[in-house]
Amino acid sequence: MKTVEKIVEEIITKLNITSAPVNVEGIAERCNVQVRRASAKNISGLLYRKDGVAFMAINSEEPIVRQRFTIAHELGHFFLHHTKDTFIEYRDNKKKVVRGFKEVEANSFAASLLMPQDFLKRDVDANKHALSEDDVKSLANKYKVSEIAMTYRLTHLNLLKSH
Amino acid sequence: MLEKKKVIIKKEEKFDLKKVIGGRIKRARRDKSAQWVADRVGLTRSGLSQIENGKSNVSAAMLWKIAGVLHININEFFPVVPEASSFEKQDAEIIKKEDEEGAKFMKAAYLDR
Repeated sequence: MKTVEKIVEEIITKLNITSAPVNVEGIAERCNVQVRRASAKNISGLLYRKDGVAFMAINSEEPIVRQRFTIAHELGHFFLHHTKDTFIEYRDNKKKVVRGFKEVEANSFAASLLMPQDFLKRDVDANKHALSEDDVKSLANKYKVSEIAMTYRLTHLNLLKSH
Repeated sequence: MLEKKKVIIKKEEKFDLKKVIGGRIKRARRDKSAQWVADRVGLTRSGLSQIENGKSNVSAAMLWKIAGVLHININEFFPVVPEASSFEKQDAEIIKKEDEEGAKFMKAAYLDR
């Protein structure tokens, strides 16, 4: 079975994405996924699909970096969890433990898409010294993700250790 | 959100099928003159120019004739038909069965504008 990382790499190659920040909304559009925004209390994002197209709603009240992560997360469901029938996927914004295997997968899809392994490695390699807190901050800015997401991703890719 | 809506409306205003088809006819006749094509399909030169510039509508029968003299397929005059599927009230009802807030959320994003 292909890893999520591998699947994302293929998407990035196929769509000819070469630099950060990754335009997740543009990717959605190109894949026939509509993205619209509205405010909601307890939902960050929702993906609804029918007839081979998909409709996404994103919570407009949340910070941009969070919205980007939500779009990427819902795209994860779109790409990884194929279902033929009408289907609803949520990302709720309650700070509880992430439910289920699919949610974990969608999150790792989102991280891989927003912070592609190759791009990050290139950027970290260009840095002569071990990454400082400020470096992580500026990487987060460059990739338009939260610092927490960036730190988590760097740790996951083993890029945070000192050189 | 408002800004986005504006952009979409602009796009729709800009899209003029007459112009698209006309431009494609012009491109398809390549080095053949407008007069040459007009003579073979029973149009005047200016009549064909009007069609090519999107100033007048062209009939399906005329398009078929033009395709014939240019030896191309008639579908080459048309852009891709946009995806027909859209989010509708009944979709919101389907979501409501599972989650009321989710249904409201989708309605706000797709239907209440």
